[in-house]
Amino acid sequence: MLLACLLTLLLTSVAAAPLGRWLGRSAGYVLAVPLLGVAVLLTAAVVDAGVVTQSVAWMPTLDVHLAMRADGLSLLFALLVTVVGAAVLVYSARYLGAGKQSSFYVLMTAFAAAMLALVLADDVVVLFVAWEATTFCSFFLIARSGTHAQEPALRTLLVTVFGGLLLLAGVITMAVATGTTQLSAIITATVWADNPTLTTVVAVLIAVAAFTKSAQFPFQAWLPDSMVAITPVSTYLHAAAMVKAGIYLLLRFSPLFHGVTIWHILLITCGVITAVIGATAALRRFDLKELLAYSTISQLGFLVAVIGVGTTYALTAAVIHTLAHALFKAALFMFVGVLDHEAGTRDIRELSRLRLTMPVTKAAITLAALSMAGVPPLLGFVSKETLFTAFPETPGPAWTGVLVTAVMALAAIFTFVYCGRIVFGTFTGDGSRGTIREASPLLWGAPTLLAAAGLALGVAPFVLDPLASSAVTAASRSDVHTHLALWHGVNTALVISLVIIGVGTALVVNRVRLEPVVARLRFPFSALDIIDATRAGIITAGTRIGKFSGTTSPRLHLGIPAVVITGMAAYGLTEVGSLPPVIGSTSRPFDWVLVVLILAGTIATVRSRTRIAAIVVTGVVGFSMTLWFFTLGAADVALTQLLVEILTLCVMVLLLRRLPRRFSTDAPRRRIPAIIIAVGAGLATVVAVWALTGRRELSAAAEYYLTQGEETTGGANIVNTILVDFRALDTLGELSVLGVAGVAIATLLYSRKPIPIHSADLDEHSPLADSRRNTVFVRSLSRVLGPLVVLMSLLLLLRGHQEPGGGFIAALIGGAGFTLLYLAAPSDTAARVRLPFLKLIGAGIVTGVGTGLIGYAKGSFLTPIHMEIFGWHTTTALVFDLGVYLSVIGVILAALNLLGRQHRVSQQLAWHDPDDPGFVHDDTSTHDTEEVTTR
Amino acid sequence: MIGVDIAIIIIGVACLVSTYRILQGPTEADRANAGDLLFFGIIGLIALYGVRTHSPFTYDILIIATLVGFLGTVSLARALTRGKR
Repeated sequence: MLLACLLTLLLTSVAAAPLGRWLGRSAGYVLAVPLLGVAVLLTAAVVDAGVVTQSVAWMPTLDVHLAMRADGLSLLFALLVTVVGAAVLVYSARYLGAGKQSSFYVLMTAFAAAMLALVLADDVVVLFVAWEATTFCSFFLIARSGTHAQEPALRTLLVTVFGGLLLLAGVITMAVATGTTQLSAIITATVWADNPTLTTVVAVLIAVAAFTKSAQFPFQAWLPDSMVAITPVSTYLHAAAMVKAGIYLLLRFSPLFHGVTIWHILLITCGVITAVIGATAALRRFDLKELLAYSTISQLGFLVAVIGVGTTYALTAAVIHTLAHALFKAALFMFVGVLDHEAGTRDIRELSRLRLTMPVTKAAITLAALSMAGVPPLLGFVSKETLFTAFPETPGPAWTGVLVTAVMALAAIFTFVYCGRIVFGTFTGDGSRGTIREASPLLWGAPTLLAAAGLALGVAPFVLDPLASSAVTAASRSDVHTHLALWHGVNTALVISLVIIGVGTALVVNRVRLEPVVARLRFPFSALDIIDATRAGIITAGTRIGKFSGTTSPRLHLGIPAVVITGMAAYGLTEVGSLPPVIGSTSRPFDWVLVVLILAGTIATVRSRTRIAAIVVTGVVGFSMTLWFFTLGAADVALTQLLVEILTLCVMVLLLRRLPRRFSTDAPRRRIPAIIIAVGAGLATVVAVWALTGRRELSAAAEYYLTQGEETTGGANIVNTILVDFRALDTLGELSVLGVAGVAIATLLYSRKPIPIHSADLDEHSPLADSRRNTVFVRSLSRVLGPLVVLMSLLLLLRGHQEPGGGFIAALIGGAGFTLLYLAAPSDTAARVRLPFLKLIGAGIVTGVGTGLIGYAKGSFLTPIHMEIFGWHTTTALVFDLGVYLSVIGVILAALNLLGRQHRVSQQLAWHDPDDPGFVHDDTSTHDTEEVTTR
Repeated sequence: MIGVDIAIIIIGVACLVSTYRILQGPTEADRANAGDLLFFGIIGLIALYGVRTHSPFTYDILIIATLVGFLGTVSLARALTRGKR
């Protein structure tokens, strides 16, 4: 049944979209029906059974159920949501402008559904979900009012979500502490009495969550701010329903935290402060909607404080005042909307210059305002009587009760005065600005009913006894029978009421003289400033933190890992003692020659001022490494190192001519930390290499490769058989990496023009200046060397399986051949090697993967297949090597072609030209006119 | 073998001397020249080390190094003219 009610409202929300489109604003009439239906259904069910529960599995693994429970308290709030909701929807049907109103009705009905789920939830997780759902509906309803509403909507969201997350923290704590998520079980759990600290923590979490939602000090600022929303939204969310979610939460958890000192202190203090702040602020406002917003804050303060008092009588007062407030505040808001709709202003000063011939509006506003002021015989009087009967019961020392009562009486006097301002300010018009006539009954009908209900229930409050009794019973967990009456005889509360009315009347009469006095009653800062300052502070702090790594300079991004590595090494030093001993000797005399060479090269590299010097000395390191690899017995690696070194040097030179001659120099204050970090990281690496190598015999895998490698693959070159037979997947990955690097070079240089070439300041009249003639030597040399390089490259490709060589080395030598062609050419244009390098890369990768796939014929991916062809031992590993070859050649050609020439759009895709298949384009005319002379 | 050791030491010293020139070289052309010399010094070291250890792959490396090694020098020359041919 309860789920059916919830489902009805959800379906209403779904139906609101097409209805809002077809019927426009009139959809409100239709949508009000299911809300009223749900109200009737729920009332019938609860009256019939007392407490109704229903539960279906939702997330059984988390033990979270879609559990619903309707008792008196839930019913009270559910009625509030549905009846006021229906009234607002009917009102909206005439308040809104003509046209499609889908989004408004969808959000409003979704909000009603969320609110119903909130008050019916018997699972704390469902409670939290519904809580956040109301927050988001509220956010969207405020935000849809236009661009000026974005900031208020955002602030509302931030404040209420902050509270919502505290609620989540509370929910999780409760679920963990009690082992269940069932709300009714949590409240009756025994763990709360056993663990006061835990109870206190949860009490604070729940209280603060409720404070944000119900706009209590210090979170009250979002509510007046959110008045930018249209009146029906303000009425429903910010007067009757959403702000009551916090009140509901406090009432619901009231039995659990009754007696927890901090709960009472927090609620009473914040409630009293809020009541006074809100009432004072309302005294100063001229915009009726703002005035009502502060009045709402103030009234919610009364409610929170009285819940904080916590006696059964106090809870009765809370329940009755919730109801009274919902009735009169909804009516007031809607009638402010009527005034706004008809007169075009909500400002008291403007309205007082208008003659309002609006009898119904006048009567209803007066009725609602009297109820808010607490004048008999209205419901507001009854609720205020109960409030002031409850306040003296404040727990703690006797003076607290007196103090709270006195301060609240002051707030009530303020309330009386601003109610007077509403009525007299609005209706004592002098008519100098024209006459405003009564609105359509369709517009004032629903709010008038609410205002009249305040009167009817005030005259006959005993009608509410059953509802109030069951609600207070639920909120206090003890059987309570309330006896509401207009006349309780002469008692303290009546005296207080008389004082309030008397002083209030006197102040209202003198309200013109009062205005300059209250105008000064303002805080030196507004709470909005605090929210904005907090936001700005968070953003500033985030920017500061982000700046630590928010740089494109590689310095920092390299520095952090270097420091971390140093730290790791420092920690590792503590474990050095447990290392196994070094096996044999790990150094020979010859190594020291190399160490000295490499050290000299490295120091020179970091100290070099010009880029060419840096490249030359890096070459020293590279060639020394070649020699080192060779002396360590790694012929293949030495060859690869040598070739990569030379090709890198050639490519760096291609880049160098686009860069300034010298490096930019850093200030010492940046260099010194860099030196410290570098030395630290270097020492860390030395320690790691010293500690972690040379301390074991040959690995089992190496043993296998050395003894069984040749037998398994038929290849004597272990390095090459590992690369193409045993661990060919690595090689496939590497050749893809190279291919992708080629594609990346192409993509980068096609999409973005590189820096122009800085040309050197050369003597143009020198005999050396003519590039046609001065390249004769290299060109002649390349005639001889070219074929040799090609032969060498092929030889190394074919013999790789048995002797040093293989795909990588062969391709690097081929690449060196192309580099030779590039260097020998007399001009940049002629230097282009017209091979489709991207297609070569593609072919290389396809060959590699294809060879791998052939392996499935025998075993699995990348298994080489051996065969004898004409007595030659042949294997698919050779084809795989060919793939490596093509890919590497492709990337070298990409670098030469794209970096080695002027960037010109017309030539970018020239290698597509099918009429020009030659290796070297023989065009000798130079187009190098784009050169920029810089120095 | 003592001759080979002496040769290694002599070439090693030559390498260090050319390294000194690379570091010190008043002009970039000095550095590039010294770099060329160092490269061939290292080829010499490879050859001598190969002789000393009877490594079968010495010639492979020597042939390849000499075949493509001068490319570095030509590139550096190109760098000195900032790409001008």
